[in-house]
Amino acid sequence: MVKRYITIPIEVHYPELYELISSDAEEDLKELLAGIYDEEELKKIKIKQEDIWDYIDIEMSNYAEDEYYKEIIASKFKPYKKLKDTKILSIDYNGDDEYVLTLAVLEKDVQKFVELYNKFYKTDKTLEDIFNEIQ
Amino acid sequence: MKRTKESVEENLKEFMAFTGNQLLYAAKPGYNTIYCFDSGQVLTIREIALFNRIYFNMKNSK
Repeated sequence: MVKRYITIPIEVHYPELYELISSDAEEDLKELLAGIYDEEELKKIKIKQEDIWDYIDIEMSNYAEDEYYKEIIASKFKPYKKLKDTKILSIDYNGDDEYVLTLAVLEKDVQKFVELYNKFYKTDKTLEDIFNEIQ
Repeated sequence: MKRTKESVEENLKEFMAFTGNQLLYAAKPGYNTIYCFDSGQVLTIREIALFNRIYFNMKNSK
C-alpha cells in the first residue's frame, strides 16, 4: 500500500515538552555536578547560562531515546488514532533543539489526516501545504 | 565540533583526571554510547564534555 511520510516538529505537536524538560534544567545540572565534584570544588563552580542551554540540548537528545518521554509524546498522538493505519515511525532529535515526530500515513487516509491535522493544530492547511512543508 | 575516537578518549581521560572516577564500561543501548563509572555515574560523552568544560572554567577563573 502506498504511504506518505510526514514529519511534525514536536514544538507544534506538543509545545509543553520543551518547558517540561527545561524548567528544572539548572537544578538538575547542579545536582549532577554535586554527585561528581567534591564540596570545595563545587563551591567554586559558577554555572553559566550557556552551560544550562548546552545541558538542555544534551538532555533533550537523551530524552529522544527515553521510553518515558516517548510514551508522553505518543500519548499526545490521540488525534490520529482514528486512522488506525497511521503509525509513529520514530521520534527523533534533530540536533537543533527540536524533536520531530515521523508518521507514515496510508495514501487512502491522507485526506482524513489533513482534516485531523487542521483540527488538532487549529490550522487551515491544504494537503499540499502539509506535505510540502515536510520535504 | 565533530567527535572523533581521539576526542572521546581525551574527554574520558580528562573527566577521570578531574573527578578521580574510573570507567567501568561503555555500552550502547540506543543511539548514544553511555559510560558507566565506579562512582555510579552513567553519562553520555556530551555530558562528560560539558562537565569537563564547567570544571575547566572553574579552574581557570580567579
